[in-house]
Amino acid sequence: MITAFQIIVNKLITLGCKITKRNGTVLPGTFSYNIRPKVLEKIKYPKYVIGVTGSSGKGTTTNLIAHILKSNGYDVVYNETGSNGIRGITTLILNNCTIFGRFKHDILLLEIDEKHLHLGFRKNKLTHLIITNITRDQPARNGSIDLVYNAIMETIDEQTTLILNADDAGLMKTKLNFKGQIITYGLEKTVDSYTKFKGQSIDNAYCPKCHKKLTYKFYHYGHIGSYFCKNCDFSRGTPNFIGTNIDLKNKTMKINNELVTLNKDILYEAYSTIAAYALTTTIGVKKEEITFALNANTMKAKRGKTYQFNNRHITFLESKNENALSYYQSLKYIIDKNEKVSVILGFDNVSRRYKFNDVSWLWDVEFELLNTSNIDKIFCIGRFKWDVANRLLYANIDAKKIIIVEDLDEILDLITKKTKYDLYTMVCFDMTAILKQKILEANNGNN
Amino acid sequence: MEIIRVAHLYYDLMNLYGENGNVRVLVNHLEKQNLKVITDYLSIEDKIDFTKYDIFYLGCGSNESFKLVLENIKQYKEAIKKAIKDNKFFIVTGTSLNLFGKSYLDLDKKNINTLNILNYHSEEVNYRIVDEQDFSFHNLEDDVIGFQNRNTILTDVDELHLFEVIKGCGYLPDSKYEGITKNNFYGTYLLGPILVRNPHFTEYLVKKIMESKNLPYHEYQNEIETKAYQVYLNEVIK
Repeated sequence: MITAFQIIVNKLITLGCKITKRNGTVLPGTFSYNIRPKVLEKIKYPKYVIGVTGSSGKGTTTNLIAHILKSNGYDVVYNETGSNGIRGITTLILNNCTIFGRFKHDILLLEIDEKHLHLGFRKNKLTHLIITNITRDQPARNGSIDLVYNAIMETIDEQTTLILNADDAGLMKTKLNFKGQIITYGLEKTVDSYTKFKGQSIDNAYCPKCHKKLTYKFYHYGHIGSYFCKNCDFSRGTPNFIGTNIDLKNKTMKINNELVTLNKDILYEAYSTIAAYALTTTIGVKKEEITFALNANTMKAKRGKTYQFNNRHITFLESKNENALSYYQSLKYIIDKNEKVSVILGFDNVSRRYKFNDVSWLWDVEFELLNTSNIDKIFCIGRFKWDVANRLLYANIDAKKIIIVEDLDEILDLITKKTKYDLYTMVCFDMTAILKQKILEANNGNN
Repeated sequence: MEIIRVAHLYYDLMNLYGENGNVRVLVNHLEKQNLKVITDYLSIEDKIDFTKYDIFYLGCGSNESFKLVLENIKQYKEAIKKAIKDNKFFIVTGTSLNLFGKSYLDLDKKNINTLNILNYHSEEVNYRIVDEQDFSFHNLEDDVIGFQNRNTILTDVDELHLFEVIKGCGYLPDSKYEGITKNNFYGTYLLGPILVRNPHFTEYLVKKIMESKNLPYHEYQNEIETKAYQVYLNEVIK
């Protein structure tokens, strides 16, 4: 009875949001969840309830899975707005139920924040859970990667089939004591793989079984790669789904010898694609259906909207603060273009989730990649410009290349004066909006 | 050229929050004193010779890494005790501080033996202390800033404190004091690259290091680090 009431109220608030043109992805669920979190336990869920979690790549993976399923006529509902907290998820679930609490579609697919999983799915278990990776991300909220891992594992049991990135040794320790089914995926060596650890800080350097140092055949990034223990039998082994012949330039790779197209030319697209391939195969989608959908995929890439300014292209790459992997992807994207460019870096606030402004993570980001002759100038903006500039100096970047923008109103003038090359921004959310606005205003003024 | 040796201990386990910055900045500041600095990165598969180095750095790690390090470091108890007595420099940040006290009481009320070199106890608590910190250091005019993110406290501290709390958290949430110092041991729950973020504190340490080697100290500039420090103190903390 209360459940029916909550479902109706959720739908009414959503309708209200639509009428008043407000964002209705979180508000209805906030109301429903706050008055009675248990409502999620009262729902009659469909045969497949699929979760996608991890530090990065969960949104892309979720979208790819949804694309494959929809292209093949499956009845799937997912959080396409990327609202992956428990309140956004509550909105989505209740809006897709009958008033008797029966979920109306065949598949519920959810991108879930790794720290919100236990809020909704402790009792009713997910049927499948993909964990993309656990890397350093928002430490003020998450503590350490061990705590994130433990929080995920406390939520699941053998009723859930796990789909794990085998290249993350921290995830593969699950093999040691998980009683349910584990399906793994991983990527073979690419032209960018390296054999000697080159980052500043490594996680999961030791064997989770015998605590001896793991040996890596190669690294893709950070602690992600192919590893084995010389002392015991712990290793990445051969994953159930293995990506080979990874050709980012031509956006193709082979998954278990099937050629598939990648949506973007970055390694993490390959990870998302193989994760989506593994999941959809596991729930019975035929491989030709999957490859058909992937090859016809024309999803819009989130990364890299380009603006024109004063005969220069300015491409916006958004980087998530406190996530060295997110920054690494932007850095790699820029230097792989192999063109002379300038870069804009910086942020006013570390997080939009919380008030803390810890800047320690700057030292985990591989800014050393920018130490190349192809980088003309680096503009440091935002409240923490000095911290960013200092970090760049420690990456041995020539001080002459580093321009500290003390007054953000002068950024476009400085760009005009100091660099003639195209630019990439790898700023965080708060600066993206400001910079776009300034470019639009400047361009309108010139017309 | 005078040589100074730095050991970054358990660098691959105790490195939760950009701790590598501390060693890099310390090395850089020492090099500005015309010293030749040799840095070794050592961990549980190495045999660590505590007589060989002038400075030891130990950073913050996760609870699981902490357990591995604790098991390993116990073999060096006497060597570390002697090194501290001999006025070697120990810079210890974050959870590594829990290695040096008398014991570590975990959430299940299990008492784990730690190095028992310094007089305090560590205790795991069921809440996390996460916030920006503003401390004063008696030898410096300017505050020391940083960040904490921990779920342990210190109790029964019978050592000199390193900092006084202006804003933030001491040994316990309501304690006025934070950090431990003895001879040239400097330990604090502040984590991450605190030596990057507090150039004046680093300068203080460098002076002490030069003094210990009977070498003259040369003034030097840290303009960018100082600017970053000032912005953080005035715009974020105050």
